[in-house]
Amino acid sequence: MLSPKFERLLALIQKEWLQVFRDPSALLVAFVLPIIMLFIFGFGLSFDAKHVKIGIALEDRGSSARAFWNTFDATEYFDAAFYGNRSDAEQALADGDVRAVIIVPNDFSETLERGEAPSAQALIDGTEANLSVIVEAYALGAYAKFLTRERMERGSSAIAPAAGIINVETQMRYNESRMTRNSLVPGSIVLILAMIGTLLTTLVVAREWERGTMEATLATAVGKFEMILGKLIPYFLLGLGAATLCAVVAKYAFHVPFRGSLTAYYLTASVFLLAATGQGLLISTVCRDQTIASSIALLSSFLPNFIFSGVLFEIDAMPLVLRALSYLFPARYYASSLQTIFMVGDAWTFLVKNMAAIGALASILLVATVVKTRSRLE
Amino acid sequence: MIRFEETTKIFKGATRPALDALTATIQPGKITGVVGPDGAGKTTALRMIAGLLKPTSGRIEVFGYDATRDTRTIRSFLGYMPQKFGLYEDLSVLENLTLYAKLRNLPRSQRRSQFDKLLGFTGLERFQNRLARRLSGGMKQKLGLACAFVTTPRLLILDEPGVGVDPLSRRELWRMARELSGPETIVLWSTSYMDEAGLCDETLLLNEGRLLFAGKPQDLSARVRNRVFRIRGYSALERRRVVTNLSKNAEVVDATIQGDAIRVSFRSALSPEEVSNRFFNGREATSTDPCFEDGFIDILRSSASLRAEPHSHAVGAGSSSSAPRVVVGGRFDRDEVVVEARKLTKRFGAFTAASEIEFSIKRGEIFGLLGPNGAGKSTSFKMLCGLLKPTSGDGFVSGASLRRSSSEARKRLGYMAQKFSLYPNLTAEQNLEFYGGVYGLDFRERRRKIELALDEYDLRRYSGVASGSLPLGYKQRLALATATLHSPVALFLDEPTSGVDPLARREFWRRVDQFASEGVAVLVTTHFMDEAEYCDQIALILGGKKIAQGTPEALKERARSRELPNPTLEDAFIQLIQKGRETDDAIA
Repeated sequence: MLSPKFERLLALIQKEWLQVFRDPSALLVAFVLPIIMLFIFGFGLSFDAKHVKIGIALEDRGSSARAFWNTFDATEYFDAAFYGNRSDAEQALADGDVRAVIIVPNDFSETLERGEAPSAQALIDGTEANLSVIVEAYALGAYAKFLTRERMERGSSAIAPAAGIINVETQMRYNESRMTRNSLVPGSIVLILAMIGTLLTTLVVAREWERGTMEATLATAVGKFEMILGKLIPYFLLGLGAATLCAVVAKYAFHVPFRGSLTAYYLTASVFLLAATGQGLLISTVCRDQTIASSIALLSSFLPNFIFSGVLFEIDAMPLVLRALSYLFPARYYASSLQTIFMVGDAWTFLVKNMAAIGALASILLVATVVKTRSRLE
Repeated sequence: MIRFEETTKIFKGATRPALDALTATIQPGKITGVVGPDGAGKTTALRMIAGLLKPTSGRIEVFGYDATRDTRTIRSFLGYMPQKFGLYEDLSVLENLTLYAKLRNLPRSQRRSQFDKLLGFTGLERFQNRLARRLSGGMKQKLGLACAFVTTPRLLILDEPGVGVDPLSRRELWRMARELSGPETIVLWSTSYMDEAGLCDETLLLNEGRLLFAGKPQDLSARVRNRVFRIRGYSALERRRVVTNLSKNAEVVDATIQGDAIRVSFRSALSPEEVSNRFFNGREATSTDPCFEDGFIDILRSSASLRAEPHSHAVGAGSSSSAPRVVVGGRFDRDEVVVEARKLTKRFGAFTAASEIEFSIKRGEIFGLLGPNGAGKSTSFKMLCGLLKPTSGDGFVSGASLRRSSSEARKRLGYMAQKFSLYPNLTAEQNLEFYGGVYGLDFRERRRKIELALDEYDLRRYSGVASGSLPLGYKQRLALATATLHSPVALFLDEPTSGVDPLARREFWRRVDQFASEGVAVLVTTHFMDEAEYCDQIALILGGKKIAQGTPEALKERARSRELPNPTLEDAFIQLIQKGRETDDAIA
């Protein structure tokens, strides 16, 4: 025999499940949207610059200059177009036909013959800041590669190192191919779980207020904790379901490595979902209008999570105020935990520290919900 | 037993109490009606009993428990049906019942027999597995009641269960409430329909948060015994004129049109002969039984003369200071058809909301579309306003086709929507300005009409007030003023008076009568049966079809029988619905 409290709670959870699976809009948020988001982040959004159009103004027709041009033309990062003079190339840059122009001055080969590192000028279109940085780096890389090859051909001491260029040997760890997808897909999981935990919960509670079912339920013997748990548990479980779906898609459709354990994955997801659902419940206890509640949910959950997850924007590059603010959002901790689980493995000290932070935020939100929830209409 | 002791509720930011020092006692074994217009405090009172709201001062005792302190205890024996029935739309009939049974901890062993009993009672057995969202209004309401009844509660609170459902379903609901409640049960039934109040054992009549009357409904009607009369023998046009004049008479409490007769109640008891000779030039006057509403109006009028508060809207609305202007309109051709519906049909996917609706309205005629929510009257109405495009068929407003030249047709009509379609943040005058502009009146014309309207509708003292904070009766006036600013030939009113108090309703109808006597064709939808009595012609709409049309008298005549020698319009409607259902069943 179940206790009356437990029986009521079970009835509430059961009702919530039936509703979610019969309501197309809830199914959309819970299952279709995650898939769409994963695919947008997985396929559509890529920060790897490839086949960037550049122009090369070759003022020097010597063989070394042509070899230098070949270095650019040969990589898959650039599609190089040839211009006979500086002004044509600059015009192409101004027209937006090319993203960057490399000017090879007429003393290029001569300088190289003298055993000095020749200089070339790179003009880069800065309108797309992200891309320009990448192009700059690639251009420097290509230049360094060219010099190295020339040195090897002529003997290592034949060319003096160029001023300002340091030979750096980089070795990428964890994300060896430096695929941005590998860090974006885990980042999108943060957003998906935030959406289910916060937005969906807010929507269903606000709808109950609007349809008068909340009033009818309040007038039964249902208590405040049953009310909260009756919403928290179903959407928490739904979130875990979505997390499973995300992990499967990430690993098998996008081939993102999954180096951590499932235990670590589900533990962090659970803590994060508690915070997200807590936030959703708090919003809907304070605000009962569907439109306003969902706007608040979007602005207070989705948007900051998007910014502070560190996926698209580097938190360390933000102004101090924003950096300080980022500590208040669970996304910050969850995104880095997920990236760790996917690409590094179970770095428990790091994960536990992050989980503790999310857990602290979750408890604040849930306690506030309990305090704010009334078994009355006001 | 429930006891209200000086219970007051003032909502945050409100200027006047929603419920003002209510003291009353409610006895078990009876259906107690909590009666009053919108804003009377009915829902507030009911919610406080359920512990959903906390009184600002005073207390409520429910079977010996304090409503604020012992909320959980009270809720354990409470059945509560809120205004929108409180059903989960995505759950089936049986799932809704099961949910509420579990939430109220009905032992598993009792569930099946209780469900069977309730499903049998509501006639929902056949629809057990249908989702609540796909039930008709009447069925939803019965399911809502069944959910509230699932544990046979000692206290049953029903908040406006009769709103928007057809009169037959409403009658069935009353039967359910009577038969399912035991001798110790308290049933509280709130309503803004005065005719429903007459069905209760006891009533609490509220208005603007104050208790006006507590007791048996017959006792309220008894106030006006020997003061109510029916007078026949006037033509439709004369009736309107006579009623307008009567309402200015100091000896008259209330005068309304009821089919082909005039119904008048006087300040003091009179004999039929006196009435006939003194007021109606010897036309025969018959004394009739007073109803609950007569008593309500009598109280409102007498309290109006006692406390002459300039800002009390219910009183102001009925006072003679704002009586409509004298008829200035010239002659017009009474046979000219202004509005015409020809086989108007609207389908939404597989669902036919309106099927081949046909009628025509002549100049000076008031035409009523009558039917429960979801019957198709609003759909037909919206097609005629040019707001919905008919799937087939056509409508005409003074010759302009709604299909081919809907903007032309729309220019010729004035439309007053259910929720008044005023901009709540604009003042009364700004609303008038805006609608004048929308109707294309030039500046001088607009100013002239606005000045006229401000005087005529007695809106001048509110002209600078945001329309959202106007009293309901004034909102209604302003809406009518904006709808008629461009002197339309047809006036379309969609449930114009639901929720306003009877005085404001009468005053509104007097204005509508005024328009009709100036030659405007009026189309009005309503679910108030008594309001339909004002109409020259009524079409009854049910299930998307027009099931009958005629004058109120002709429709009542059809329902006359030996058992029912004096049928009301509601009786007539119920008979027609039953007949309609029988044919449906025969086909099925």
